[in-house]
Amino acid sequence: MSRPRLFATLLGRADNASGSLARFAAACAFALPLLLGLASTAARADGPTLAIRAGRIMPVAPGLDWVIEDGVILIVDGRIVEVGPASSLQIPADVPVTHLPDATIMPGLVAASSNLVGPHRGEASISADYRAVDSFDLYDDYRAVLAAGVTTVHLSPGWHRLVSGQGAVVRLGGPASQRVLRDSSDLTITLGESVFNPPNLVEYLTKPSPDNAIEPAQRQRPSTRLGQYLALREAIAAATSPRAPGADFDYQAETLDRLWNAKHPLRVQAHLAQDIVGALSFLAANGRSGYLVGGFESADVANELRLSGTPLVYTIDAAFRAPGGNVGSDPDALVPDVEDLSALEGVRLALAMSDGSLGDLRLAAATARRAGLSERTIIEALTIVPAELLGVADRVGSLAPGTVADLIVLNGDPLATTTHVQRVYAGGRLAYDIDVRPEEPGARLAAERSVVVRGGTIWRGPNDWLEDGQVLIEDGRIVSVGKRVPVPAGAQLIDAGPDAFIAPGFIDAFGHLGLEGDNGALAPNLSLAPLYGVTDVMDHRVASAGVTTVVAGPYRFHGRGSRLTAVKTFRPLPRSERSEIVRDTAAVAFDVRGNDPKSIANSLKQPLDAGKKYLDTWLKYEKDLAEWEKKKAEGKLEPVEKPKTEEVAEQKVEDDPITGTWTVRATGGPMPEPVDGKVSLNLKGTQIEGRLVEPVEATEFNHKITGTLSGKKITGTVEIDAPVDLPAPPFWEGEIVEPDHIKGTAGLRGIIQVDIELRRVDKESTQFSVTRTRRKTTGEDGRPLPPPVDENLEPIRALLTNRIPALVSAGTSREIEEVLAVLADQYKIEHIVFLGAEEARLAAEKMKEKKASVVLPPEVLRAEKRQPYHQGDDLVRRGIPVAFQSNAEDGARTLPTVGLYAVNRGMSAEAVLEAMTIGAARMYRIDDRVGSIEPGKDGDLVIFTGHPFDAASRIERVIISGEEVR
Amino acid sequence: MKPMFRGLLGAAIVAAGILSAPARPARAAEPPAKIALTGARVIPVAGPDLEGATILIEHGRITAVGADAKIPFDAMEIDCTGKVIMPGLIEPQSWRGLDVPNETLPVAPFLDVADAMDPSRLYFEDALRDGITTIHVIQADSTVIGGLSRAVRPIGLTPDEMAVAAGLALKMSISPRGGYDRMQQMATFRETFRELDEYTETIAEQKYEESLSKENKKVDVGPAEARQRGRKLLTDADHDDQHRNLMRLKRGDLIAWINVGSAMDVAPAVQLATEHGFFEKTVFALGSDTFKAIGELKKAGRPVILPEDLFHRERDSVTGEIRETFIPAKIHEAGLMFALQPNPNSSMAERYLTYQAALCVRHGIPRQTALEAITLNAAKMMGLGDRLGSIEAGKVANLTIYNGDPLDFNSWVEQVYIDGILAYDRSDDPRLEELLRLEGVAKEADEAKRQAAEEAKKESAPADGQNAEPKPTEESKPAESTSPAENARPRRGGGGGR
Repeated sequence: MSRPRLFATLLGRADNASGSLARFAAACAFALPLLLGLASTAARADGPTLAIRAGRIMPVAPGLDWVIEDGVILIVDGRIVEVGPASSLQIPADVPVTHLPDATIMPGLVAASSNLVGPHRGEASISADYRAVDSFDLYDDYRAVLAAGVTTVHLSPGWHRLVSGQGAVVRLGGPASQRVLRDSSDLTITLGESVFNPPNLVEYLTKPSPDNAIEPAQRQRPSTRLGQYLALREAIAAATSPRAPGADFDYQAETLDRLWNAKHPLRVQAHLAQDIVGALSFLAANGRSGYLVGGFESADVANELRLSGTPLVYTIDAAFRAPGGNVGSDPDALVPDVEDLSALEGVRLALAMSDGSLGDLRLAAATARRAGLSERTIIEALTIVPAELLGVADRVGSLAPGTVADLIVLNGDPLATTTHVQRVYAGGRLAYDIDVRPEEPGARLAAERSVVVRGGTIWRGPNDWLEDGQVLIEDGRIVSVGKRVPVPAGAQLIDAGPDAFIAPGFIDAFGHLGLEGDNGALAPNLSLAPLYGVTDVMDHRVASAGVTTVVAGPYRFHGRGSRLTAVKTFRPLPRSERSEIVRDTAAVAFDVRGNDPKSIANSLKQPLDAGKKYLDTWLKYEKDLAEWEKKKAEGKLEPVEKPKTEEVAEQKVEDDPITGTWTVRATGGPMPEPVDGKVSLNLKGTQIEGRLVEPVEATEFNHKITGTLSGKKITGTVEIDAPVDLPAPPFWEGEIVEPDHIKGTAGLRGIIQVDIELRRVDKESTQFSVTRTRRKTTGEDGRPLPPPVDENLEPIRALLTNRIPALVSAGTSREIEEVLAVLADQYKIEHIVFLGAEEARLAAEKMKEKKASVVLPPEVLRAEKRQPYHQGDDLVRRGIPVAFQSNAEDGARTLPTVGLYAVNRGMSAEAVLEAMTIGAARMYRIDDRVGSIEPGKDGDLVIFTGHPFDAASRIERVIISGEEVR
Repeated sequence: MKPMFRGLLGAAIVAAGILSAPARPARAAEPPAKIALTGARVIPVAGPDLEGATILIEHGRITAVGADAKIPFDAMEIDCTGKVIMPGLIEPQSWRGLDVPNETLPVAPFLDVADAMDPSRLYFEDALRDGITTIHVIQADSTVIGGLSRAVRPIGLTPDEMAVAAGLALKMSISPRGGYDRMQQMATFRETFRELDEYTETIAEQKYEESLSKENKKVDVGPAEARQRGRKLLTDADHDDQHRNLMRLKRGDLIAWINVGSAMDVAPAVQLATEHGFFEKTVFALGSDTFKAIGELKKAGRPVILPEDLFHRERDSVTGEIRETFIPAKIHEAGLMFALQPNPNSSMAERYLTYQAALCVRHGIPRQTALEAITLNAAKMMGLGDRLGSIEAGKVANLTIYNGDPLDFNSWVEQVYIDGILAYDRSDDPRLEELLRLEGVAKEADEAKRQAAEEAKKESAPADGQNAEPKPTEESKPAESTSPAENARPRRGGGGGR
């Protein structure tokens, strides 16, 4: 066909373009009930009823907003009933609501071309009866494709034959019976090199005979570009004309005839400009409408396309997973030109992949923006347009009411590179969930749960603001902070918006969270850590206020010092090694308030000296160990002598109520049944000495039974060289009820008590000497063993080695100075924090010198000469670090308002923020875990609408250890 | 003299036949007119188990079953006390009696398995030894429309002698044959049946013309009416080979034996059978994952043959978790009639029908259902339910006699009666005897090898110490003396005759 004639034809049809489309749609609608047995069953979607509320909904439906912020989709029986903003849409009370505040929801993508089935292996060049739906496995698991967001696909019988058969449209989720949308959606015609030179047809005869000869293989068209139109025209002519009498029955021709007469939709696949033009003229010449698929060179014939009104499924040629192969010097090799797709303006456009793959469709489509397509065009080209072309727009391709609830949940903008599909709903049922991960630990994808927080400003530390930044939290810890961080596929994306201010979680520098009013002093061997189980309502209240860490201590401090514990205010069930106790012992606290300043030194010295002595044993051990290791390395170790015990048999003593061997039976107490043993006792004056002979196991420990006989009563103790420290001293007591018979009790004083009964079996005396070995100080190989741990003195040891600070509650300047003199000068303690320190300004010079810091009293406003001043402001100006305390349990929730007031009273907002976060963390030396937004620290973030200490700022969200708690 | 001579000659020829295939205990002679098997526990399958019952066989048919059955004075009485008698097992489908599993032509309904059956295949002998008395020989799955099947006994020297019922079922496969894809497979079905219609109309019209021309009349009606009239006149002989059996299938004369290899094949199979009118005569042979379409199978309600491996194992594509499904449980839950087949590919016990049934029982399927699945159900599917598959008066005397409960793996087949003839007797099974003897020899060889190795070890072990003085005589003696005694014991019974 010559060009001018073609254009004339096209122009003639251009006027009628919309009309032809309408007819096309009508043909689809008409063909539907006739041809699709299964479609009618698919139409009866029988799914769940639910509502999904999401941050953004993109319905891609005519008559609905392009984007609905904070919208709701109401799904009844698996079908969408209503879509609208959460503020105006009424959800019936009995409908369960799934709330996905960070999600973007859009219709499932419709892939208008796929390689899911086919090509078939039939050899006929014109083979209308091959139906792609026959090869579709209804029961297969398509989660791998759903994960890419594709919920509806066109199945193609192939690109390898001139007429390769009938396509189909199917859903990839939902029950098998509802998966086929159209079992015959089109008659597929392909133009171009791929259909040239089909194989020769051989007819196999079942009974060859002289009358029934084997015919030579029959050659088929086309082998040239011209031949393809000839073959098509021939086939259509043959099919549509009545069969000649005597001619063989031709089933393929009959099928073609049926489809052609029924005006079955035509799908013409072509890439090169000449084939596209040829296709358009073929359609025009036959008075048919249809759509084109392929179109690598469509931009070159954009005008013809536009004029014909023929829609195009443009297939993107993109190699994401591996670079494409070489095309070499072949000048005819296809080089898709995506640079000027903007030329296709006005052509109804759908997008698919040229190789029919589905996994990267959304990413490939996103790149089409380079070629000049608008975001809206691209999204429509992946949803509503292909749905309309395939004749299934009444059921899929948009979130319009009445469609099947096939929708995808994304964690960001649909065309952003870092966006991933989080969930897929098919007919309202969850068909894919990114959180369902492999169970084998080796096969785990990204970390447990990744969270990416984006915001206008990220406060990394004092005066270190990151504009338009992102934070990646994995497994509860900050992994990366920067302008653009990695976004793992399963990540939850929290977009706080350009105005948001993201600060680290606040630290309450002294509070009593979890004590529930118990105001007893806490001995130094006890930590508060066991109090903190799973988060309760009070914790949650504090956490919601942005206070993510509390340094908790008792209301009153023990004379020997009390422990403070740093704890998170949100503690999920333990999942990993990470503990929500930031520090079991964050500080050791003393109280010197109200004491005679002269006695302060004494009261502090007592525990500190004990601690010092304890520390020395450790230092000695460390020194010995170092020496031993040095010797060992040099090979100079001396052999170790083992302690010996001796036993000497002795002569017999007569008329002695005690001396001899006794059987002993212990009953009662915690013992389920009596235990028998034997003891050997000696009497010297009134003193009894002895040892256990049986049971043998018990004699393995070095022990000695001692006692005093007064009249018939015996009281005594047992010395045992036990491998563990006994909680109470062992004792025994009894009475000689008759000769050779003692009844009494034994046990651990105040803990266990059992009844014992002894009977003498002989009067032989056994002399023995017991070598009481002290607790072993060396191991088997002579290695020095560590001294026993004294929990009472451990905090002091940590303090003296400057691992933790001393928190001293002091008020007056005299107290402060005295404390500094003792702790800093005498004991060389480097980290001193004063609690309250109301008169700190008077001792400021000394405090600055000793690098002491102050936890401000709850009442921060002080007055001097009736002139009010804010202590925090005052101390910061004087160069003394400060932190804020709640001195309360869930009262810690008001800490941010205390900060606001500090700003009001002259402190800089930045200084307050520092005092609330990294300042407090440094004070307690917990800045390795909390206090700022840096890699390695806990993922504790508070998202404000502005600077935290602007009066107008509101807390939007609180994230603790990567989990959203508000 | 002459007839007698001829009779002797005949007997000699029969004897020679038997001798030439000595391994197979073939039908020796006409059965005794009346046999009474007494004292056994009888599992009739058709009803509750009977203790100490008598089965009376007259001319190859069962005439009475029960404890109170009267034994005619002229019956040959066989004491079966302590034995368990079951209906002969039925293998619901097998190509293993054929020389090759499949034909190369995709559509070959004119074929009959009888032409490719080889009665001398060891498979038949093994089947008999395993207690199988009826085998449905049918071609394998690599086909679109295959040939006719045949139910046979595992005895006899020719396919016709073996036949129980010829031309039973027509094989079809929805799952694509080798080298085909599903689109081609289904297109071939559509084309074949469409072409059949076309062909029938053509010959119907011709037939009508012919019938009129016999009376010297001309066709007086339109072609449609002529076809309509002609179709009524058509007989099997009017069809050519390619179409005859398809026509019989559509008429309901043949059973449609359809391979439904995967879940996605169920809907097309049902559609095909419904469209062409043979749905009521359809049996589905299932593949491993076909049970996933249990909803559609249940709705169809047709009997099914279960795959050889009764477990379906599948790895979850995302979590990597392996799910195992016991297929009979799903089928039984859906209330479908099913038959089990042995798994010849398994070197394990799945080779035995009784084991497959026991496996079902172990997974909660009632014993009665499991027993029916290896006997009566297959008979019903072949349309032979009135003749085979249970021990009832009137049925063919196909019996398998076990020395214990058939589902107990310690039991074995003692004797098999087919048509009232003693077709197999374990005590007269030279091949089994040889096999067990060889097994004993192998065991002895293994034991000798083990001992040699042990001795070599002992000799090398104390070489490093001072007392390396070996004491070979004392140590090896007791070992040598025990081994023959140990090996001698299991030779006969321990191997298990099955």
